[in-house]
Amino acid sequence: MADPAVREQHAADTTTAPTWQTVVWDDPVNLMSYVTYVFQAHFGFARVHAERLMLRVHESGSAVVAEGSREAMEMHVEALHGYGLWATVRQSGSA
Amino acid sequence: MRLFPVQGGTIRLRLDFDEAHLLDQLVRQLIDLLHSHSSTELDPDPLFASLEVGGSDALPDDPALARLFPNAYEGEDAASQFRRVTEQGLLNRKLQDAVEVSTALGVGSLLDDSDYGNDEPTPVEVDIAPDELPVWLRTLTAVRLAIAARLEIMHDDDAVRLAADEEHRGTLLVYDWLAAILDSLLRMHAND
Repeated sequence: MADPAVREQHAADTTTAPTWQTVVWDDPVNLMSYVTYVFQAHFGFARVHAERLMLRVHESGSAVVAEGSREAMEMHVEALHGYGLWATVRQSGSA
Repeated sequence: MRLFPVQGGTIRLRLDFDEAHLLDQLVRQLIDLLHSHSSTELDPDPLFASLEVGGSDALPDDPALARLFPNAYEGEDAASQFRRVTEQGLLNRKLQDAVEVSTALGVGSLLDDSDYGNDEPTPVEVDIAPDELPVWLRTLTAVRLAIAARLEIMHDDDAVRLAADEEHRGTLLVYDWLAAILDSLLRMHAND
């Protein structure tokens, strides 16, 4: 599924190779409204985009929410763990 | 539990005394759980504490701690490396959040009050400013994650299964009540 916002972030980070991803995994505890809130609060995503990503996590079991340098993805994952979301860092193309 | 909008995006949370007492107990249990996994004393300087480097090697054995401090990589080696550097800072930030919520509830001081017991317990009101909202949301979520780990809620239909279970029904009610507070806070925040 194409996603303009993720592609934009990817394009902005082409100087740092290889590219890494922040993956958020579905869990049965966190509320849909809360996951949407976290995507808005942490990434600054618009509500519509945050909701779309949240639904993708929920329906597909996981979703890539950011791409870029390894350091940047580690910071995202650490922040998402702070919010209680289940997130991991991985290299693009490894899954 | 009731919420009221106050000017400037502040949300007023009103809890019956028993509700406030229960919430405070749950948050204090979270604080104890976090302390049990901490390898250092919490630095009184919040910035130093939140930036503290350190951590353990592997996913905690305790399921609640394992859910609060999940692996950041699917591979064991990378996950361990990352955990050794970041876990203590993350733990300190969760502790700071939980202490802030417990302090704001102020239930401990009410119980110490010698007048308590003579009158009807009064409701507890807490004003949550916009910059304090994330602290409350993260802490309510951490308590829910810890309860879910204890109840072994691993899949979407586990909560339905537990509802039919005499032994866990009470805990599940508390778990759902916390979800109701969280969701109400988020709704009021979104409508602001």
